[in-house]
Amino acid sequence: MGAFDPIITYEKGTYIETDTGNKVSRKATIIGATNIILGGKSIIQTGSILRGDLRRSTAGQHVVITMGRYCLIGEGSIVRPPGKMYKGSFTFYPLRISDFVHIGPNCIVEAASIGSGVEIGKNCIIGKFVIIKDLAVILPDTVLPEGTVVPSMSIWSGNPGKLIDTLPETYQETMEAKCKSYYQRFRAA
Amino acid sequence: MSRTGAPPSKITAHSTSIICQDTDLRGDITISEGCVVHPKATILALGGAIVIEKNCVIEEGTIIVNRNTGIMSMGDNNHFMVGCRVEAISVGNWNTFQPRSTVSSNIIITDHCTFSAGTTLLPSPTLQEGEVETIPPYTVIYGVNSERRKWDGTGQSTEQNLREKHIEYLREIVPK
Repeated sequence: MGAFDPIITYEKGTYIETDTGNKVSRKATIIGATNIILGGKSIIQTGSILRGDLRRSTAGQHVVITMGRYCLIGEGSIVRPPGKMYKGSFTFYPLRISDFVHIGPNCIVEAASIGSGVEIGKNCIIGKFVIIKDLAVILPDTVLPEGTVVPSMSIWSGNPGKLIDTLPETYQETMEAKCKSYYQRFRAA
Repeated sequence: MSRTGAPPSKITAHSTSIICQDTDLRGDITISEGCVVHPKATILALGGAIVIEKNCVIEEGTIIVNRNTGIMSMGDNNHFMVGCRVEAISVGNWNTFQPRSTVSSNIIITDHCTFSAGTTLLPSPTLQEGEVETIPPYTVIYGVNSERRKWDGTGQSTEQNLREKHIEYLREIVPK
């Protein structure tokens, strides 16, 4: 987060930039885009897969994936909503991702909700219906089994994921600054 | 690196199965009724044929490869979750391959097994060259070291019910 951090470039034309400032790679697979809402200034990198087609069983328009501002979905990550039986019928539940969430490369995310300021390392597997509260850190290569609840300001790691440490209160400013700085440094070559 | 030509694709799919666009299917593949193949799944019948029985769900990022010359058969009602990689010689029924699990070749999988997220299944180290290991039914492979234990079958009928309802739902909503 210094003034001299390296800029991260992409080839011009490989990313689409929307008017709200979202940068979406052309090589990202977005299925069911009408059901996906991106907050502004988010980045969806190459090779990622967002399944907006796995929606609820009730009729009408439904948002499947909501994302906040300054989010990052790393290369090759797969984000899909979790599904289960409810009152005798199977349905998918919406996935809510808050602001300032960084999801590393090659992750598989099937959580129910992810709070703000969360950082998910690379190669993580977040199981179905996991709830990650604000400002948590999931270290790389963690596997969170189904239904895990990750409390705020905690650090998790391992397979199966376990709480290993907690974060100081100043972490919120750190994470917000990090996400904003990443977005500003991510630009066309 | 020289590469032999890709085998001619011969895909036989039953009329009630759903294969999404953007899947990579190569070689001699037979897909039976009711199967759902999500986008970005890869099925490569490089050596021999692959037969997938009814009502299997193959999610994104899965890789099913057959490098041996024999026929690789996947039983019914299996669920191949996101990112798993299966090269086993044959797979039974009602198995679950959780995200990013890996099953190497030389293994025969029977029924009702579960391969947890991120596990890797290799044959036991005492196996001779060319022999094949059979995984007994109701085995669960779990943990970072891919240990095995037996499942006593609790909740089996709920799981099966869930799986059936899941696949019915997918057939309705998945983009064809």
